[in-house]
Amino acid sequence: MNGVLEFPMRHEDHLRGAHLGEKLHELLDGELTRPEQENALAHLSECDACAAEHDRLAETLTALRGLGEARAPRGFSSRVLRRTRAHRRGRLRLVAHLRAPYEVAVVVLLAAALAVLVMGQTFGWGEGRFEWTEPPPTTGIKNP
Amino acid sequence: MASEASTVSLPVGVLDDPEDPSEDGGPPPDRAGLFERIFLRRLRRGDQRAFADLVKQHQDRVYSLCLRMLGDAAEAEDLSQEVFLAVHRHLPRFRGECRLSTWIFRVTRNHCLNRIKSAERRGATERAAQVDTEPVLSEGAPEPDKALLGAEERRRVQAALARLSAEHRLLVVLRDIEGLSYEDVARIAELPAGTVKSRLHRARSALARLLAAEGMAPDGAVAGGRS
Repeated sequence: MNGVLEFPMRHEDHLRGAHLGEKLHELLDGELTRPEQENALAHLSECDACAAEHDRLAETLTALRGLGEARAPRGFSSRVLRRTRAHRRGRLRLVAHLRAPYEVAVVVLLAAALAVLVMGQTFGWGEGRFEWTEPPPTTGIKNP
Repeated sequence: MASEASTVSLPVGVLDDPEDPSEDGGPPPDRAGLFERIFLRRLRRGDQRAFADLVKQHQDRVYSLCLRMLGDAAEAEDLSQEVFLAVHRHLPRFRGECRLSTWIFRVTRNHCLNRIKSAERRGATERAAQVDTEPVLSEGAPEPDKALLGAEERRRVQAALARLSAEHRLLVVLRDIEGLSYEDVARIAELPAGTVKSRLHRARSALARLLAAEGMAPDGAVAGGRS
């Protein structure tokens, strides 16, 4: 290939063997202006390489469009809606759990108390500061 | 509101109008834009009927994109369901910076690319042999005539598509199979329009070479090996 054609196309472009390149796609997409389209078609009538590439691309586009419109299978939307409903119910159950602050608070407090007890036992917190004392003797005390 | 539910419906083919002024912050949104805003409000409120409408509106295009990207009907259906679940989950976060249909296509694109990447990681890159090429009938009116090529030709085209990179395949599917405009493809792919064009042209040329190597005849029939 000796270069890509610029529009407007000149006779020298043909002589130096320039090709349509990207313009081929624009031609197939119908994006060229009328004069550009005429220039491109004139080139195609003279350039075997561009004509062959044009045919190949046109066949490819025809084949792609011929794949036909794929449609969602029967019952697709019902299946999706069932799944979203199940997802929503699951979320609501979670929210319902979170909406029981009393139960959550009791569990957290119990866990905290247990943790403090275990830590106290482990590290011996409070040793020597609090001592259990004998109850005072009751004998010999006179009642007023 | 019940009155909204009964009177407002999403306009069909919202991707058909690429000149949506609401995207550029220009003049006030058109009628379709207003419909979409009202529809979005219903969706964000958790209106299940609105979501059912949304699924019915977009299911074919989402499924079609998944099918062409993955090449397998069962996997395409599974992924399409995942897409709608993700849409359902993330709708409250959708700020309306683009049209709803564009956003749904972006979600679909991301799901497809992620699924392909994870399949590649598992070493299942070549799906061509398992391509389900049977025409898929819709929930509504079955239109088997829409599948213009024969099963063998479809298999060949789909197999050639599967050999493109996922990014190139996406552009070919959106533009040349789904028939979206370059502007819509650019919005969905989140690429500049010029980049979309140049990549698409490269992808088409690559696909043309692959199909030529497979022996597609000029009229779209398969040459050689078939009578």
